[in-house]
Amino acid sequence: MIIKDKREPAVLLAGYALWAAVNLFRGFSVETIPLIALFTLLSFTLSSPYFPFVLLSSLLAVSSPVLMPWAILTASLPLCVSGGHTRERVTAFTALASVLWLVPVSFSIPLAVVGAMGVLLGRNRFKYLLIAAGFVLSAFFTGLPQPPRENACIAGSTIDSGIISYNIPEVNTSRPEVLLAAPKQGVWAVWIALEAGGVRDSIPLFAVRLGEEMLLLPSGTDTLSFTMTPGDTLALTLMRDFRPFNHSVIHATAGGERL
Amino acid sequence: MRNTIRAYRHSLLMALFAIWIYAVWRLAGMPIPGFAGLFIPLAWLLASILNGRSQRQVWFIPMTLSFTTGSWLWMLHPEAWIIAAAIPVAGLIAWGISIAKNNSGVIRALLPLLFLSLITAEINGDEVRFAEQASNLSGISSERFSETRFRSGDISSTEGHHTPLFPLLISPGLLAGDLGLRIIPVIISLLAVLLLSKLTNPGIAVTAALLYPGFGILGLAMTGWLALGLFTLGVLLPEGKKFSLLRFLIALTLVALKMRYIGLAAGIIVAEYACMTAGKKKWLVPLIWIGSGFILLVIDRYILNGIVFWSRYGNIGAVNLIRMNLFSRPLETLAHAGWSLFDPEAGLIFRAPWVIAAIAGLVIVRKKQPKRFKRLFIPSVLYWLFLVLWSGSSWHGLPAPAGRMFLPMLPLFASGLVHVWKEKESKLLIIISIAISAIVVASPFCRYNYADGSDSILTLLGVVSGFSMVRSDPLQLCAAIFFVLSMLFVFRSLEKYRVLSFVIIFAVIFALGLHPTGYEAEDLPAHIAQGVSLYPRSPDPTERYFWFNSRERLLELKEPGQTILLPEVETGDTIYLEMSGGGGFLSVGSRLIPVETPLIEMPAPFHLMREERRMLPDWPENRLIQTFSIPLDSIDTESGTLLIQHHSGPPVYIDRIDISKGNLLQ
Repeated sequence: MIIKDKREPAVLLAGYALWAAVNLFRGFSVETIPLIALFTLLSFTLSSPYFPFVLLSSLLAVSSPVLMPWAILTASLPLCVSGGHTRERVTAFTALASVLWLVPVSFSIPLAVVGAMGVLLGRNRFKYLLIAAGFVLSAFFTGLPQPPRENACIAGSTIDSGIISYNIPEVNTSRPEVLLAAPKQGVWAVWIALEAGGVRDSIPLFAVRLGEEMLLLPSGTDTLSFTMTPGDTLALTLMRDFRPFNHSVIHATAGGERL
Repeated sequence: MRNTIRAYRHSLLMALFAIWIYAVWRLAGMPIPGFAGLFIPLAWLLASILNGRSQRQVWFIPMTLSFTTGSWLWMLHPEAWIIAAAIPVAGLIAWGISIAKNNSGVIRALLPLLFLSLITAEINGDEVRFAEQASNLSGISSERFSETRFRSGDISSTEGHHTPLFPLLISPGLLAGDLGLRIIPVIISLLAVLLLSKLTNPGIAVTAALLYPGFGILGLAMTGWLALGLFTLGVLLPEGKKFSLLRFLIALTLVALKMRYIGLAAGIIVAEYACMTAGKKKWLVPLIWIGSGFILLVIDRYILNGIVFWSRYGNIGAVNLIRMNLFSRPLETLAHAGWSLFDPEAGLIFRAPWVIAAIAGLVIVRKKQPKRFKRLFIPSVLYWLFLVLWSGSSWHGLPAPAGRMFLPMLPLFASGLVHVWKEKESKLLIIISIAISAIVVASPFCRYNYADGSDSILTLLGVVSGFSMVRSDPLQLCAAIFFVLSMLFVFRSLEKYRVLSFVIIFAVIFALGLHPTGYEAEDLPAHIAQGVSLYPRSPDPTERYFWFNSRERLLELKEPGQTILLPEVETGDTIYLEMSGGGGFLSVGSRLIPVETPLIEMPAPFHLMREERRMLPDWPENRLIQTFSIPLDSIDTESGTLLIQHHSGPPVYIDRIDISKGNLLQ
């Protein structure tokens, strides 16, 4: 291996040690393998203007398993495209490809296409044009990366003197579904106040589903009420996929009382 | 025309980037386009106007590409858009540091970030209080702040616990309406940074201002930047008798500004004495100062009716507090001192890692400028010691912006940073510090913490850590101290031991990871805990200041529907519940567990404070937290889950849940 900066081995070792620590304390996970490529990339970019970005992405990826795919992709994709040396571009592509291979990221083809074109085209003068064309074509056929639908978020709740209130996070294209679980005891009269927007049409934006019943609603303000029994789950689901200039969002508050 | 465009091409590029942020935000459909998606591009536009002929930095293209990529991938995680939004903010901070080369550069560098800081920082409780006092004292009417409301710790319904000096100083701003509250503080902050630039250099001053702890209250109506400015002015004054008098006046002003600065004021006086040349009458100086201080106290008590000092702190309780922290519970006080440096929520080093490099630089300051070192070091250390000794466990001052307590120490650290500025390791720590400030701008709630064991930045990133002052573990504190000492060692012997850095990182991660697997009850995620509420309801740490047992919030189980459904539990496992209660029954799987733990007696050191009440009232925080171990049978678990719920009787309060895997032992 060609060493261009005498600190490279130390950074490489520190990175690998961190990868080992992550697996020792959290249990081995195959999803952490891209971290090896990321730390290699970190050591290669020591003297590059990309260093701050790769360093921060590495710290983020190590400390936060949930943000690891985003951190690695954000660090590696720009380097695939504009890395100064072949070893930087190849390592960046390895990191990118390993994330796409090992972590479930939907619609990953555009990313792989951009990364591969960046590496293959090297210093070609039309590189950026070709990459942009490749990205647009791939995105046209497959779409943009989105979170897997099966990871629905569960809203927290508190009960005080027979009154329940739910703490519902914002629903948007990064968190397209939120579930409200009924308490495990009793019958509850529950209301939910919804404010949905961020789109420029009146086509149904989201669905409210409870058991067999489903209501499709457009953007605007609505309040619904219903009864919930143990085992019931109310699902709040955004119906729209990503579309430019749309910021689809649902803000909801919900509460109720024991009957 | 061509020459003008050529000269300002980098400013044009920055303006284009501002438009690019605006466009990408909308093309990618990122959240809150009307706030962050508008103000971050506006700040870049302002920066492009202020940039003048300054050159583009090497990180500009990588930043643009990283922001673009991060934005297009924002849907991968609900919080990813915040980190993507923080990228251009970090760029703005780096730009500010790069253009600060003279006084005008300092102002130009600060304005875009001040704009972002002010627009993202909600007016906090302390500011409201200052504004109410300002309106009351000056007679300037204010729509929002005219009515003075009584708060815990106030002297009376019309007089708050803050001294009147700062409210009077900021009151002219109220002439411009409620939003004018921060006009004078902004001017004070800018002047203080200019003074700091005289002490160090413009680039360092801007770095110190835009990174924590300085950034936490930059431009906010709080006293920190004024105290910093006064302290810096005292250091910059030339030597000589008349300037000694000026320093004495600065010390008095600091005490009148806020009692917390008494350590800083005492330090200024001690440093003055230490820097005096030896003479026959040198011994008279401290006597004169003590006498002057005494006379001022008498004037305050009998002429000003105690308005500055006596009405607030002229009681034996204030003195007893220091006595108790120093002599009756020295180990706890030592732990507070340690956590004041390392706690993620409010400690100095977590939000301002650049300070580690600055400390290494202080050794050089001591060698090259011994007098200046004394004038900076003695007041800063005395301030810190007084803060911990007087405030005890509430040294952090949360829930106001985190890190503000360390602002008066900023001149010391900035002076140290001057000498290690060019080291690559320093830049590494500065990069991390820039990222922290940028995240706080992109996610305003990260400015605040509630001393409940969960740092807002770590929570945003999805990091779960038991490392906290409220879950105090001496081993973890030792690991953190080891980490910083090792880093300082590496800094001192850069070339020789640089390769040791990986050993340090690994050792620290290992040491910090040494905690059993389990759940802090108040951190249980929604898919495990449903219906449960926290005790006390309010996250405000002031409600937990005087808890003697533990200052963690507890999980309250008291009625039907509140459930904990623990996953990954099997027959043969043992579950450990740390909880307290007054006789309530908890249902754990198929078992009924009576939970009655004894009331605690007020710890002996506190008898000094409340002689009349040794047995504490029957409140949840005053019951002993005990560990209940429950071995699980096949009838307790169902599909690998264990159901815990309240059965009957008084509420049960859970502090922590641990699971011991029985199968591993077989």
